[in-house]
Amino acid sequence: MYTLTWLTFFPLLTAGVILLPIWPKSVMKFLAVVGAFITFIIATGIARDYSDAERSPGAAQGPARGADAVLKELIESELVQLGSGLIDQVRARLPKSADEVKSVSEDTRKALLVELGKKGFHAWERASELVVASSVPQASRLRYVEFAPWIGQFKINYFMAVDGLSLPLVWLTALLGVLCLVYSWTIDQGTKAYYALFLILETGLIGVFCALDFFLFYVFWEIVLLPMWFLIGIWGGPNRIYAAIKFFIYTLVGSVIMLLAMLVFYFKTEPHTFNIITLMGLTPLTYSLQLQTMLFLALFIGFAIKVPVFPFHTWLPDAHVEAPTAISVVLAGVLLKMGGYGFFRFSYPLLPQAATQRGMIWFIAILALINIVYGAFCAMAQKDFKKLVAYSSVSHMGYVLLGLASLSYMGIDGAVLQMFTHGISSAMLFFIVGVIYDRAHHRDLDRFGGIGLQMPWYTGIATVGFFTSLGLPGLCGFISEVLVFLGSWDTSMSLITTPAGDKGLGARWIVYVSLLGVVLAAVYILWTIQRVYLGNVKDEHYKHFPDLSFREVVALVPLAFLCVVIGLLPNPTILNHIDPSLRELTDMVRKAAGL
Amino acid sequence: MLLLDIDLEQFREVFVPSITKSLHFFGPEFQVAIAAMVILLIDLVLPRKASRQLAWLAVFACLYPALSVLSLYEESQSLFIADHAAVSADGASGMLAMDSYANFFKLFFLLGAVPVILLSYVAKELEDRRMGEYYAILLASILAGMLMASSAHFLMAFISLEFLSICSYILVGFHKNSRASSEAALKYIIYGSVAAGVMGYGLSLLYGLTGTGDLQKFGERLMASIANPEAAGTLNVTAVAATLGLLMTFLGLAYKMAAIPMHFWCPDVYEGAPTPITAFLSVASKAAGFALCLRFFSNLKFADAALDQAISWPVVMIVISMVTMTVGNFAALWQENLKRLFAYSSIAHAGYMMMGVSILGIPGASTGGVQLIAYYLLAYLAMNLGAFAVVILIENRTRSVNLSDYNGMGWRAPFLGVALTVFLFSLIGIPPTAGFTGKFQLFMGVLERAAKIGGHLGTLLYILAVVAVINTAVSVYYYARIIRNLYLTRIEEGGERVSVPFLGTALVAVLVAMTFYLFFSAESILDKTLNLKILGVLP
Repeated sequence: MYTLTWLTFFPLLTAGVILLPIWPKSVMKFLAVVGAFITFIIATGIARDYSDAERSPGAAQGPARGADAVLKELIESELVQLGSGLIDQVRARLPKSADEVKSVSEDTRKALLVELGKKGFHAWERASELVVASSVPQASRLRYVEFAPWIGQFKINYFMAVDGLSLPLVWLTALLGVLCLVYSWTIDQGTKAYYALFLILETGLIGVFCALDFFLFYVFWEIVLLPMWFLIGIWGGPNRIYAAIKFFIYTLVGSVIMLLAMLVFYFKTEPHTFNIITLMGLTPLTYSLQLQTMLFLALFIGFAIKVPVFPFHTWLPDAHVEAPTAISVVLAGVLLKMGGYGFFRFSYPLLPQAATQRGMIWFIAILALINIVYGAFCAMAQKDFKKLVAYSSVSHMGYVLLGLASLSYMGIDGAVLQMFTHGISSAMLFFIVGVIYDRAHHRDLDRFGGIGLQMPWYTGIATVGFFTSLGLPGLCGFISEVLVFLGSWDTSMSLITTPAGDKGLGARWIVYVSLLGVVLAAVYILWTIQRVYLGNVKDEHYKHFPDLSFREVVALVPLAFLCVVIGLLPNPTILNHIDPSLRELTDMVRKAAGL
Repeated sequence: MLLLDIDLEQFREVFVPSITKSLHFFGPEFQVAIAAMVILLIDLVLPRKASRQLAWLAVFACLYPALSVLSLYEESQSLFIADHAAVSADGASGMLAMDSYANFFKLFFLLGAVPVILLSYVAKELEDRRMGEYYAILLASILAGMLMASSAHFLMAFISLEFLSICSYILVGFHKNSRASSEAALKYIIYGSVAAGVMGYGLSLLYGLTGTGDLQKFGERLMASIANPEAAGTLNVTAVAATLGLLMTFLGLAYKMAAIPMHFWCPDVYEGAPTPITAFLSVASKAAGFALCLRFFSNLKFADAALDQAISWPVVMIVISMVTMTVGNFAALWQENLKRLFAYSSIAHAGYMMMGVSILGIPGASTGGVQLIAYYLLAYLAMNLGAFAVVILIENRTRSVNLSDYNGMGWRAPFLGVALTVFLFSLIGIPPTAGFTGKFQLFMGVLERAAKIGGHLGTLLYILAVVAVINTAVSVYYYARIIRNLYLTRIEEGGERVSVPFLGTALVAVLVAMTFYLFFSAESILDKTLNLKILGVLP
């Protein structure tokens, strides 16, 4: 089947097809959209089967089986290759649990190497890695597992799977891919390169969320960086080169630091491994707190730059302002989530003790607070429409950090949902800015006014987007923000508010002050609506603005629809599917940290 | 000492069989040498215009010996045994070593020379010259590289290094009417003579300390005497003299590798030389330097105890590595001339590869620095030759290697633009390209040892990794500047196209494919590079 592989590489395949020099421009664009749409259908199919499998885990068949079962089979197939004599020997020596793997000493390993021979020993190492991986509780939630050796000498595998944490982001990527390509229909310079780069970007993004081998993850992480750089640098606004280089250097610095951390993970773990699930089973048991803290900070820099967390956020407004509309949409909608995803997939499960020490909770919670409040204040001060939306992203990603720091069921659910809903609402807002910019050719908030009279449909849909971002009940933004606040307030679980004696901070004021962010969001968003859409028409030109065109409707309506549906029915649409995985994750981190 | 006290019987019994036996393994070198001379002879009778067709003969003269090397690949021998006293002792004291390590590098030079020859063939700047002597000297320098990679004795090492240098001087000054070219050649000679002098002095010190010129035995003796300074007895070794000797020898090699502090020739020579020769210097000449350097220093096995004692050789290497990459990267930031930019980039890459040299003597790891550098050089061959190929093909059209003339070039020459982008990303070290895997492995090598040994040296190794990471980030800026000029400064779809000869396109395509292949099929390549063995050095 190789469903995930198809999903990941279908955009790349499409890029290859459209690069052939035989297509006229319009056919080429059409093919690209079709390719992205097929990707979206595959993603939707996976999402549907995943939710079925979550509902009745016992009945799950084929690729929808949990990773624990699949990995156990892989152990067998690893051993079968050995031939009859060696297989029993290796099986007899095979550890049964992560604790046993941990307790294998250097001398035992040397003895095993002598006893089993090189081939047998390598099989033993690979099998014991898989033993650990299949015993990690989170593995049962991972579905659509694909596992194949890639670079044997360094035990690098092609290991892909999705769970409730990554699936919403994968689906969102596939959706935004279609919408952005449709929206970009009017790009008329270097069209082919633009579409091809966009599709490569999509492959990278889906790969990042699916990869469960650290090396593979890093490869996809970097693949995302390159097309993004070109897309901003070639098709961006007047100051695009500066913005693109800034984006490139910021992210690359973050990712090479992450690379170092990844290598330290590899060498500090016995047996050496890049398998993230195996690392989840071993690192909490074997790493000292000091090492964990250092690794946590190294990973933090890499992810925080992407999120972006204050003070690493300065590349974001530049990149957003210069990027073409569709690229801003992907940047805000999915790219920022790579950072958030990194916290959930790497920082917390791999380094639970470091993540839950008091200093680190303070660190994350305060940064979350700064992000929320400072981002909101910055947004309020902007005259540039797009910059305002960019800073509102900074503010909204702060909620993700807040939910994360609380480490309560609701907080984590809220944070992951916030990544998803912010993906929808910020994508909408950037489309909305793009629509008006295409007509007015400026983004100065003070010069707009009375657009509502001229473009009623546009204004209606825009209002949905703005209210989602503001957190109006009935729309999806509300659900995630409420969950984050309830979760971080939850006095029985939240690490922020539980009394200082039980590992918590007892710092209720952080939640209080964060609530200010919601008020500030209302201020800057309502003010924006007033300045742009209400009042009298400020400029004669605005009277000739046509309402939404077909491609703009295609880009905006599905997102508005999602805002409402998820806002009204959060449980059946998404929460029920992501909650089991996240509960498992939260439990795992809390248990490892002794909470 | 070697030949004076020889008697005839020993000559018959030891030397003659040894030489006749060795000649069989010396086949590839013979073939290259003969081809070089044949090219010179044919050149005499060819008209000037036709002389450039000799390139095809030169390509054949690389591919055919490559086949012979392949057939001998797994052999492990010591060739041309000269020190008859040693024969009875341990039987391995030849002038040349025949092992998979040497063969790997022989293949590297032979196959790496093919793109250089083809580039010289398509380069417009060499079009109206008489090319016979050019190809002959190029082949001679490949021969010199092959000898360097397999030299197992001080004398051989020194001679082959000088052989390569002299060939390079001529090639650099090949534009004899161009001031820049002659100036570059002169600078190269002056720095080269200094380096040779220093190295010769260093070697003589080491010879004096250990009483042998044989690389393998020299390493054993030096390490033994450092491990027990009191028991040194007749050798009378002081660690200071050993360090001095090693350092001076290293300086001579650093000149070939373009590492600090022997890098000063690099920018001027790169700029003045014909561009295909610049490409050759940056890859083959550097690789020859590393090949000899690695063979030389892998014989020094630092015991655990000796690490923190008087001879802090790894520390010296770590510092040189850090300084080299930093100087290279920072100096490259401000370059406007692409050849100069690549000169500094080549210094920076020497610095990265020095990471592999610096972990050579440090025990306790699964993969040695030698193997890591071998892979890195393969990656560097693909990406750097590729970048130079594009530069040459564009230079053919624009007659310029200035960065400012690359504005919008990506749209005018779509294929070359994409290819150059791939090579530059690989030089930065971004996946999915060969450069990433190479750098990744070097980081792995350094961190693995850092995690294992701990202590001051461990900390220093961690610092080395961090410095390399910072350097990688810095290098993004100047490589990205080229890509910026290619694509970002203006969009010129349908602008005036740059036409490229088929041969050039094919060559670039092969190198692009190689850059990706080394990444995606790393497993099968690593199977070769990780199993390289140096004669007499235990894995």
